[in-house]
Amino acid sequence: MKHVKALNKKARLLEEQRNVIQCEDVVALQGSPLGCSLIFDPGWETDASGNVTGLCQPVEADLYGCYDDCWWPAQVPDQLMNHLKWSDSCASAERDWRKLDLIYPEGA
Amino acid sequence: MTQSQKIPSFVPLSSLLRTSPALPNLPMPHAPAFAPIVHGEHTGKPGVQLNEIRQFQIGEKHFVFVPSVTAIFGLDEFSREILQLLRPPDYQPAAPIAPAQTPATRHASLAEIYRVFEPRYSRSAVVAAIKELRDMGILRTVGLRDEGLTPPAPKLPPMPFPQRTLVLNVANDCNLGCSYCFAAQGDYGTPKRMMTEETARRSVDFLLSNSGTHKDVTIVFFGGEPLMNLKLIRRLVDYANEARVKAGKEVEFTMTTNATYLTPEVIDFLSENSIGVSVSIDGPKQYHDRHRTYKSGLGSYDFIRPRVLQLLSRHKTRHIAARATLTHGVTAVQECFWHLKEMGFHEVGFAPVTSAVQDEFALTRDEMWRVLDEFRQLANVYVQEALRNRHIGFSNVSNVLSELHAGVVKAYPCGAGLGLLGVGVDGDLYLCHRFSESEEHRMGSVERGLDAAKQEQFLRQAHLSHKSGCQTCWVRHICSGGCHHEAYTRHGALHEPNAHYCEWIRTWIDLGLDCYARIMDANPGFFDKFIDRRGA
Repeated sequence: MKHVKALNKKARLLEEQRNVIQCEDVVALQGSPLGCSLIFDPGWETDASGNVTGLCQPVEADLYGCYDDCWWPAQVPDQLMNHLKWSDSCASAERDWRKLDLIYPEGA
Repeated sequence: MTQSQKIPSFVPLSSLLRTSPALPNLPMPHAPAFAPIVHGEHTGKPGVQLNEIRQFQIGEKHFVFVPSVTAIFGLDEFSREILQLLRPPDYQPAAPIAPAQTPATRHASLAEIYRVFEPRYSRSAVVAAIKELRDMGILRTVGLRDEGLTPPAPKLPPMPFPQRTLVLNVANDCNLGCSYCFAAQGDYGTPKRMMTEETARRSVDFLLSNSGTHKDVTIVFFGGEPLMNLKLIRRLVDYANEARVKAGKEVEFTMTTNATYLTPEVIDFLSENSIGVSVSIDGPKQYHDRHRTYKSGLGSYDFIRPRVLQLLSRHKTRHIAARATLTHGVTAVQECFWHLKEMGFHEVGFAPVTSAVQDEFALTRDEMWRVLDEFRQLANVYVQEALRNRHIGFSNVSNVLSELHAGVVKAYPCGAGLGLLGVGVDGDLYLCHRFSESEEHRMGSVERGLDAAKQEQFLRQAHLSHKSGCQTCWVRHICSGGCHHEAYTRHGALHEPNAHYCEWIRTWIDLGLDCYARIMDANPGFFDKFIDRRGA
């Protein structure tokens, strides 16, 4: 490589791998705008009455998807200023979505 | 609301290719183990952002550590400038106490990058540099969703996992009564007794038959005070030497001792059988005798000193290490280190007690930072000597350099319950020697074998991906949440991260990176000569 110098063994391994795959691959759909479809993001539908109770996925996962990796406008807690720890107990959305905190308006 | 409605309008790769024909859709050569953190703007315009990286500087030279793959790179001026361009205007380089998250990035469009470098570098040179940085995981192209964004589900190691090390509690008793002992003065709170020869033989058989393709296995004689059961150790060494020949493997022996039972005959036996020795000694008399006392309260320093000196002069086959425990009130690392080096120890390592808030032995927060300051000064000496191809044998630095050099992405902090197990005095298997006699952490026995279901349950629970707060920390794959035993005693659950020393560990790893880059830059041969040979 010309601009970065691999120092430790792992870095050297990455460099070796890079040299191996220098030829251009044919990769199907590599550049498609995949959006949220390839990540764990369950539940975007509501049932006939507009609720989620009858569905298999919870509203928490929906919220989490909005805050984390997509920018669909939804009411997610303001994690920058006011609710810094909102998702702290959710190490992995796939497993820990039940641990997402609910936020109530003050004085409610 | 449908799935398709939610898909943001990211720019397809083909449109990016139109603006930069030289940027092919190379797949990432590696999948980052966890998602990079997106701090930057999300404009959707094709361009470049930094991945999660820790950038540091030594003199005029710039380096970068990539946490997701534990790789370390040196940067040239051009790549440094590209990285600089991707920092927000208020970016502050390294802080004295390393923060948890790597600094933020900003989004720079390709057009902007071209513009900045236009007079000096051609577009194809810019694209080539960006590709290089991208392939090494340092930055990513944005506007494309070609990188994984969710952490993968916890992946367990291949099972059955081959065993490499057994720590045998050969004597559940000790002649000393050190106040800080995690084994409750040597007997782990259970009746004092010695391991039988039958149990010891079974342990050797268990290790050899469960070691898979490993050619070398290690048996650690531990206690209590292992030399209280010297008769067993002598017999076991003979037995293991026969058994290893049959199994076609090598068996290495090491021992942790308080040195009180060392005589010329014992030392000759240890030397003849290449048994590595680690002596528990805390430094000069005034520090050592604070806690390392006989049960009567009498300090043990004067008694062990001549024995240790004899060990260091008579034992010729292995390096002899000192293990010093740092307790409340003792932060004089350098004083202890040089005292022990002057005695003749080849290696000296320090273990600060941090296990409990109310613990009378635990170092306070301030003391921990003083220890780090002492470590830092000693690490400087280490680096100076390493540049002259000399090794001062400061184990704490050697260990962190060894980890950084290998760059292993770890999901567990140590080998406990994985390739290493503790064997209790009655032959029960435990996660590690520190959990000896703890019913909750028993994982079968050398007689009946390893309890695979319990092992799997432990490995699932203790996996890094379950540790809240670790996911966004840049040292996660080196620290992996810290010691299971400490988490258990301090937080009541062994899969809790040891959040009480996060800042300390991060600052320590930061110091390690600094030492690593300084040595690697000026004397890379040091690693082949001293670090690679140490083994894991």
